[in-house]
Amino acid sequence: MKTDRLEEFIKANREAFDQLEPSEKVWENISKPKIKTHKISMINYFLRVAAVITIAVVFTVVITKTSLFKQEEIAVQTEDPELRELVEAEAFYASQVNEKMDEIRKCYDTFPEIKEEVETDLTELQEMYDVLKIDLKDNISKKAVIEAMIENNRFRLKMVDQVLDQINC
Amino acid sequence: MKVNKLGQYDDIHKTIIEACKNGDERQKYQLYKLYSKAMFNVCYRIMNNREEAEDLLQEAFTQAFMKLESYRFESGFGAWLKRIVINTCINAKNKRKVELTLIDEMQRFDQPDQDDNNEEEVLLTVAGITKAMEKLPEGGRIIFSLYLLEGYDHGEISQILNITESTSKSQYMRAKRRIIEILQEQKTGSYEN
Repeated sequence: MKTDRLEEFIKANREAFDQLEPSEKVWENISKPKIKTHKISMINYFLRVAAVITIAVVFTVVITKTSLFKQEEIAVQTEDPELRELVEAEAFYASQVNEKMDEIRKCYDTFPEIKEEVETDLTELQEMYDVLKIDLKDNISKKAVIEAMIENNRFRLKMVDQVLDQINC
Repeated sequence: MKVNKLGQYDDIHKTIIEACKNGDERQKYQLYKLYSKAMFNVCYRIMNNREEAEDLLQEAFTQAFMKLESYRFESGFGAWLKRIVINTCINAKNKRKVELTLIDEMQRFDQPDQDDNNEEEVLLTVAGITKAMEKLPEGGRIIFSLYLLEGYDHGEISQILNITESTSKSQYMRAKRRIIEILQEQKTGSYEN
């Protein structure tokens, strides 16, 4: 077979066919800290949770407002154990996040690209938190709202932890 | 699948792979060093473009490091990685939604048959064959490269490229003939010069 010469030649010289070398930038790009991709998926998850809660709150508001029984407005009482827990959690997470953010801010010079990402993400989380605060005032599905608020705090801490781990500076 | 040359080093690399699974960045670089050249050439032969090949090599390695946890040493690491590299390249091609250009049989009839008589005399060189491969239509080039250089059989190629096994076989035969023809043309061309 004439063309088998070609097959045999290629098989015999297989390694010589791998002559090209990739440039250095390929590894540089692979080894870059990939903060964004990881975080986006977590934020998406959180957005989904927040969306479900918002829908639940809206739904309950509609049901309550249209019901025959006009409930008396219940004042938010600070002695409520759930609320107290929220206040404590808020203080705890805020101090932790602030402490870690101080560390991260020191690295902005080394990793300028993370500055905008981290700050934007924190602002987004704060905006979500503000919405939840309004929901809390409505005093509907209170337990779910408080859980979401604590989850928001927890998420913030987790995010700054991850950023700190990954920048490692 | 035919015996994979990269397979013979797998046991030596086991410790490196294990370290990479534990997130050791230095060992990841070692693993990259060991396989990047071979994998880059796989990418290049599919994409026929250096820049695209580099982008896809980067994407494939990033994916491989992410999926590394799922690698259980059941197959050779080289074969496992190569499959990721090939799938990444083929997916990139598919995203463009342009069908693979196969080698048209009509091209054969345009060529006089006497070329075949001179086949024995065609000088085979790595550089010549590489150049000839670059001139092949995309489909034929990828099939030729997957079969002869990457060691896949036509059944596997048909799955990778979503074509029939007989298309893979006939395209491979045509690719081989075209390469001989191109080498022939190059030879005559160089005499004319």
